[in-house]
Amino acid sequence: MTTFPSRTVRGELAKYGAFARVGLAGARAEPGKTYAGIVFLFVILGVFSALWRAVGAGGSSAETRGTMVWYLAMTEWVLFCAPQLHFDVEADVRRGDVAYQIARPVSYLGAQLARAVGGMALRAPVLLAGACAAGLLFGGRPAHPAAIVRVVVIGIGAAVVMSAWYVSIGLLAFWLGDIAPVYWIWQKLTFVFGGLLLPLSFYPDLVVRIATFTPFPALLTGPASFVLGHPMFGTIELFALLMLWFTVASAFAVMLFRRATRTMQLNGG
Amino acid sequence: MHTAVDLQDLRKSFRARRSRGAGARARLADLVAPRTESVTAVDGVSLRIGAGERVAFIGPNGAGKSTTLKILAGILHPDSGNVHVDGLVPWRDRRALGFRIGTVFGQRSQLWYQLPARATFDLLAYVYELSPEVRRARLDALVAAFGLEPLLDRPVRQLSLGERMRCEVAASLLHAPRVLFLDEPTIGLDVTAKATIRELLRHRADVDGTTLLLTSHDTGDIEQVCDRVVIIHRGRILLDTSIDELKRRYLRTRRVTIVTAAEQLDAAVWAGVRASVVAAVPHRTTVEVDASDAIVGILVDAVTKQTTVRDLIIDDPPLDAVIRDLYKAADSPVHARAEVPA
Repeated sequence: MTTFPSRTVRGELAKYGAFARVGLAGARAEPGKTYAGIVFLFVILGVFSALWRAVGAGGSSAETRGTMVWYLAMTEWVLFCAPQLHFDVEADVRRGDVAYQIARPVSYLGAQLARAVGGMALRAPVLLAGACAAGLLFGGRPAHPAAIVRVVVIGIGAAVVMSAWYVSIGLLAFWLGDIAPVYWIWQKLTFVFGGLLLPLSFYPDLVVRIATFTPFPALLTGPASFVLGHPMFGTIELFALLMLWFTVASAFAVMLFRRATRTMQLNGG
Repeated sequence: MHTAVDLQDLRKSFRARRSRGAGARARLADLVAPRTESVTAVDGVSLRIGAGERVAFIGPNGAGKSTTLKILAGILHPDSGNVHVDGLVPWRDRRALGFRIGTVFGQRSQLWYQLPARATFDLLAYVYELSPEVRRARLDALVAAFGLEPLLDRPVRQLSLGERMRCEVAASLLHAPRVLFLDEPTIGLDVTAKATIRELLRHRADVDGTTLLLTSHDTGDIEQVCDRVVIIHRGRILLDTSIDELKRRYLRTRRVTIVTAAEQLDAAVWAGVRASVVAAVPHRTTVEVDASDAIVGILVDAVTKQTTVRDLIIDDPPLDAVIRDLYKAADSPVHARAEVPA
């Protein structure tokens, strides 16, 4: 009864589709993280809005405040959409489950990414609803409502690219054991070079110049800056950038994984 | 018979870090210029397992069992030697091999913890590219055999360890693998759950003709699931024989419990057969005698001359005692050559 199928595109797609469904089912079974994300969005946007109001006393307009709140709502939304895959990969490495999983006819990295995308299918719309509600509450009507659609489409792509980077960070557990310090650095770089709180155009030229050599602007400020009315990248340009960074992230993850499995072969798992 | 697993002169060693000491200076030196040494895990193992055989691959901790199993599953590369599993070279044909082998690691789980077991079965059906008809037929058969119906739709986190292991084993058999590798499949289970898993493994292997290669420290797994035992020690095969032969050849003593009409027996009875009394209560005496077949008869004759024998119970020593003796013999350079066949 055992079948030994040859590799077909349809068969491969069906496999990763199944992993995506598991990711979706997992997100549905454990909705706590998504709800916590919504609560956090309301808190951070409330605080941020109050800060801009304080700045407004010194000259900033209500329109600017509203736009900035919407900008932050969108960057946070992209950030929350991407599941924390690095912790899952780290756990697999620490428990030795990676060795167990590579004995199956499926790519470990592909399965992780597919699972992340599946989880996003639930998280993205729910978090978007939360982000929009918080945006309306603290920022009023968006200055460019139509731009939200572009943010959503490109933002989901950005979250996928971010997930690919998270897989690489998780794989570093093969060498480091604990990836928390690396993630901490990644997070700080996201804040600065990704323009998490403020659009990158507010930063000094030098920071912007450095940031353009990193994936961060394409991940956060790129999609979110559509709500400003003067986006950092055009839609096509940003899409191309995301494709480029996805290729780089995937290649990096594959390289790390190959190296790691060689190390595992030397060290006995 | 078709060969399911073929190992020829398999060798594998690892580089292990060697510490210079506990002091700060030694630690710094270890960090800057680590010293390593080669540790041999598998040292010339040759083994052939026929299709449908159920083989226990046992040995003390660090003997090389898991390393060999990982090489067979395509996870590790050997340093040298020829390896074929169902005709494939594991590390070269890992993807193709994935369709033909199954793995059960008692301390790992392939089930999605927060989801019902059914979700994992569905996922694995896609991973192994089973057609919907095959998937349904296999799942129905396994659900019936393993009694999974009431468990399928409960989140895995709500299952007991025994229930989870039944699901784990069923999940590993979903694609009807030709060879199933099991590493401590009953670890942590209670006696009832252990018996269930052993019975199911043996039964399904019979039904599907699956080759089993099992590592375990639990001799119950070995005795009740397998027909053949391969003992590995320090990376080398110490013994390769049937379970019955292992007991027959290496069983040195037996325990005989005699229930008699008399409350106590004369000590002289035991002297004639060199039996030593292990336990004695009124009407019931347990002695340990040499394992040769004739001794028990002589013992019974001697007792019958004194009193009426009401009952007689003969126990083989537990298999783990036999195995422990073999390990000890192998560790002793004086006895190794004389008593343990290579």
